[in-house]
Amino acid sequence: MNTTYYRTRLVARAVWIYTILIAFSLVVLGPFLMGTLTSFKDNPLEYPPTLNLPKLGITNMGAAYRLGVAGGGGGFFGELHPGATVPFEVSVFTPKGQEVTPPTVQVLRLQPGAGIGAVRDPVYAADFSEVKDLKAVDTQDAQRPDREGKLVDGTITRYTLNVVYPSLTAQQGEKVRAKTPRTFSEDLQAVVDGQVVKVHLDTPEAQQQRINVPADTVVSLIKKDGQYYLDGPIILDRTPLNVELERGQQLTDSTLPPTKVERFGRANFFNNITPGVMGFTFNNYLRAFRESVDLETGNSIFLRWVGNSFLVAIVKVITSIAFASLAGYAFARLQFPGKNLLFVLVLFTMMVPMQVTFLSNFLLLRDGLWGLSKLFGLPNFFNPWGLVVSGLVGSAQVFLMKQFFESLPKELDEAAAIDGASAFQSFWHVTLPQTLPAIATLAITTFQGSWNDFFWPSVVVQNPATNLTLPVGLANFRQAYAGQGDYGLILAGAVISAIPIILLFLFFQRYFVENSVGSSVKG
Amino acid sequence: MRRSLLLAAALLAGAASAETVVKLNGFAGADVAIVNDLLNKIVNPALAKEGIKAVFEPFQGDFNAALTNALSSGTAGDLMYIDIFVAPGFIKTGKLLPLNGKVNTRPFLPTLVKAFTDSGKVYAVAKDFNSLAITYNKDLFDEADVPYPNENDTWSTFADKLRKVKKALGNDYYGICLPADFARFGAFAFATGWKTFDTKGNSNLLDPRFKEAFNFYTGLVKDKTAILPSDLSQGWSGGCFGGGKVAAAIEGAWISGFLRDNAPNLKYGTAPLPRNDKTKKRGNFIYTVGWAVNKESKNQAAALKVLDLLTSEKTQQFILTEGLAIPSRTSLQSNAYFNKTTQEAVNAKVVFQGASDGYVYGYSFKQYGGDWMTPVNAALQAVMSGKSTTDEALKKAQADLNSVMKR
Repeated sequence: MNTTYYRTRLVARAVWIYTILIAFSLVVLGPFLMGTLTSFKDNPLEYPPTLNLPKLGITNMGAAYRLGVAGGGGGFFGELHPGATVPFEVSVFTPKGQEVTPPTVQVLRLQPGAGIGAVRDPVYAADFSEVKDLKAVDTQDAQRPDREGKLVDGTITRYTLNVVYPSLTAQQGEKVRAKTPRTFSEDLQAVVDGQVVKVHLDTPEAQQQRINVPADTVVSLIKKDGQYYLDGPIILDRTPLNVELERGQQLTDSTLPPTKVERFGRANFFNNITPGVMGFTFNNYLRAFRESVDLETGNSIFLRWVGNSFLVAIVKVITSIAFASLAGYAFARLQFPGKNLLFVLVLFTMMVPMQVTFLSNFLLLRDGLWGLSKLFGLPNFFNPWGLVVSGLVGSAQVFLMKQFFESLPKELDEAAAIDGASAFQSFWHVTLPQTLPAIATLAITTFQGSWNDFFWPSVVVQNPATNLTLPVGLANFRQAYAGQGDYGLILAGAVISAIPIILLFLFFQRYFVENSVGSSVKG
Repeated sequence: MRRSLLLAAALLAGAASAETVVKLNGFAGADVAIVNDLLNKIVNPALAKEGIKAVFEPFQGDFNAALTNALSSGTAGDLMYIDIFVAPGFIKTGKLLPLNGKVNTRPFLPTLVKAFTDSGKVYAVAKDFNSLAITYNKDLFDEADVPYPNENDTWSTFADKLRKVKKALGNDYYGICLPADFARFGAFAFATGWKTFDTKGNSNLLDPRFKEAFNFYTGLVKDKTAILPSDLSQGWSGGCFGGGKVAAAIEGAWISGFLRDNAPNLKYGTAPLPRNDKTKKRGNFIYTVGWAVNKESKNQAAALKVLDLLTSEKTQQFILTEGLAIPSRTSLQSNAYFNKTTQEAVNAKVVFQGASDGYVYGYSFKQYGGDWMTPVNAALQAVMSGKSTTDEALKKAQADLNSVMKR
C-alpha cells in the first residue's frame, strides 16, 4: 500500500462524495430556486424560459423608486395621488424611408381577468389621469434587426411625456388620507379619524368624477377651515400605460421595461408606471397580500393564514414536548402493570394510515368532540383549534422520546433516587436537562410537519376563509389563478411559506448533531 | 355529575337563532367574489324580511372530492354546485332533491335542463353555461394576408386558412393550438354525426366517422400547422393564444376574461366552429354548472327561495353584463348585451349561439365521468406526439375503454 495510491483514493472518494452532495442539493433546491426566481417574473410561463430578470436589475429598481416618488406614494409602495406628474421616456426606432411618427400613448382602463379584481371594480387610473406633453427630444441614426433578423438602417427618436393626475379641488391646504364609508351614499362622505365627515365637491370636475369614487375606497382630501374637499381617490392598484407604434417601428428603450409586447412589437404594455420598488420587483408578493381579502371585511387575510399556521404549529410543538417527554419517560423508566400492552397500542396507532382514520376524526370534530367545543363558544371544531386538539401529541413523538431516554445511562436516575428524589423530580431535574437535543429534534420535526401539513387541514378547515392555514390558502390561490396561467402569484406565496422552515433549519441544525450526554458516565 | 350538567348547559347554549341560514357550497377562486356579490346585492336584500340569510361556503382544492366528503358526512350545505361532468354520479347517490314541481324549468334552455335530468326528474338548475368557438388573432391573419375564419368555413377551408397563416409567418408562429383532450376534440367527432354512446350504450372509437375526425385533428399537428399548448409551456390553449404566436384557439367564453388581463392589446374575433365537409354540420359541447338542493337539508323551503333568486332573470343579467358567463335563460337571448360590437360581446354571442347549432352534447360521460376520456386522451397524445399511428392508438384506446366500461 503506497502513499500516493492511498492519497488518490482519498481524493477520489472526496470528489465522489462532494459530487453526490452537490447533485442532491441541486435536485432538492433546484425547483425552489427556480420557483423563487420565477416569482419575480411578469410572465412566469414565458417560452422559451430565460433567466433574464429585468425586475432584479439595479437601474430598473432605481427607476421604479423614482416613479413611485413621482406618483406621490413614495419609492416603495408607489401609488398615484391627485396632483402627481409622472415623467416617462420611450425611444422608438423607425426604419429608413418610413415617416417618423410619434407613438400613441394612453393610460389603459384595465379590468383584471382573474381573482377578486374580476368582480370588484378597482379605481381606474385611466378615469383620473391623462398623458400630456408628448414630445421628441432627440434623434440618432441606428441599425436594428427587423423581424427576419436582417439589419436595417433607420433612426432612434427619444420621446418624453408626463402622466398627470390633476387635483379635483381648487382649495389649498393640508392633505388628509381617508376612506369612503363601506356603504354607498349619494353625498360623498369619508371617515377621518373614526369620524364620518361630509366631503365637498367644489369643482365641476369633482362633481363629474363622483360616480367613479365607489364605497370603501382610499381618497385624498384637502382640509381647510375645518371643511374637507375632495382632492381625488388614491390609485393603489396600478397605473397601466400603453405605447402603440406604427407598423415597422420598434420600441428600443423606456424608463421601465415593458411588461408585455404584442402585435409584432407595435403594442407595448406597461403594467404599472408608478410601482415603487415593492410594486415593481416584488409585485407578485404584494399581490399575494392584496388579493387575498376577506370578503366580509375587505382586509387582507394572507397574514391571518400565516398566523393560523404559526398558532397551530407552536401550540402543537409545546403540547408535543410536554406529553411526549412525560409519556416517553414513563415507558422508558417506570414500571407499571400493562405498560407493554399500552406501548404496543401506541405503536399500533402509528401503523394505521391517516387515510383510514381521518373520516372518524372528522366526524368527531364535526360534533365538537362530544360538544366540548361549545364550552369555548364554538359550534364545532372546523377551525384552527380543531387542528390543535386533533394533533396534541403523536405516537411517533412518544416513541422518539422513549428511545432517547433509554439511551441515557440509568445510573443518573439511580443516583437521584438514592438522594431521595421522586420519579417526577428525577425526570424534571436530572433526565430532562440532558434531552435537549431530542427535544430540539422533536420541536423541529413537529413544527415542520404541522407547517407543511396539507391533507388534514384541507379536510377540516374550509370556511370561513379566515380559518385557513397557509398551505390550504395557497391551494385556494392555485384555484383562483392557475387557470389563468398566473403562476407568479402562487410561487410568491409558496416562497413566503417556505421561509420559516428554511430559517428554522439554519438556526437549529446543530441540535440535530449535538449530544452532550456522553461525558456523564466514566467507564 | 356536575361536569355532565355543565356539558348539558353548554349544549343548550348553542340554541338556534331566529335567522334561517342557508349554506351554499361552490368552487373557490373567483366564484367566491362573484357569488358573494350576488348574495349581497340581490339575494340577501330580497330575503331579509323573511329572516333568511344565504352564506357562501366554497370548498378549496378538488371540489367534487370535497363535495362527496361533505355529502357523506352530512356537513354539506343546503345548496350546492353540480358540474354536468359529474352530475350522473351525484344524482345516483340519491342525496339530491328532485326539483319537479318545486322549480319551474320552462324558462331555461332545454338542452341545459336535459343535462341535469335523470329518468324524468330534474336535479339541478343550470346557473350559466358555455360552449366552444374559434377565437382568432386578427393581427396574425392581417399580417399573413389571409381572410378571417367565418361561419361558412368547413374543416378543409378552415385548415387551409391556418396553413396559409403558418406559411406566411414562419417558424415562430402556428395556425392553432390544439390540446390532446377530448374536451376540445370531441366537438369535431360530433360534427361527423358520431355519438359518445350508441343506442346500446357502447362507445365505438373504430367508427370511420370518429377516425375521420381523429385524423383531421391530429393531422393539423403532424403538418406543424397546430401545436400542443404544452409545447409552448402553457397549460391550456387560451394561454397559448394569449402569447400572440398562435392564430386561433378553440375555447369558450371564459377566454375573454383571461385575454382582457393577460393580453390587453390582442385584437381577436370569434367565429363558430367549422362545419364537417360531409355532414355540413357543426359539433359542440355544452359545459354547465347547476345549483342543486341537498335532500337532507333542514331548510329546504328557504333553500328553494335562494335557488329561485340565484337563477332569476335579474341575477343572470348581472352575470352576463359583467362578462362572467352566458345566461341559461332563453329570455336573455335577445339581451342588448349580445348586440354590442365589443370583441367580448361578440365572443359571448357566438358561444351562446353555438349551444343550439348542429350536433351539441353535454360534457358528461354517464357514470364513467373522467375515466371515459382517459384512453381517448392517451390516444390523442400518442398520435400528436408521433409515438404511434392512428390505427394502433385507436385500437389500444378501444380496448382500454372497454375495460373501463365493464368495471
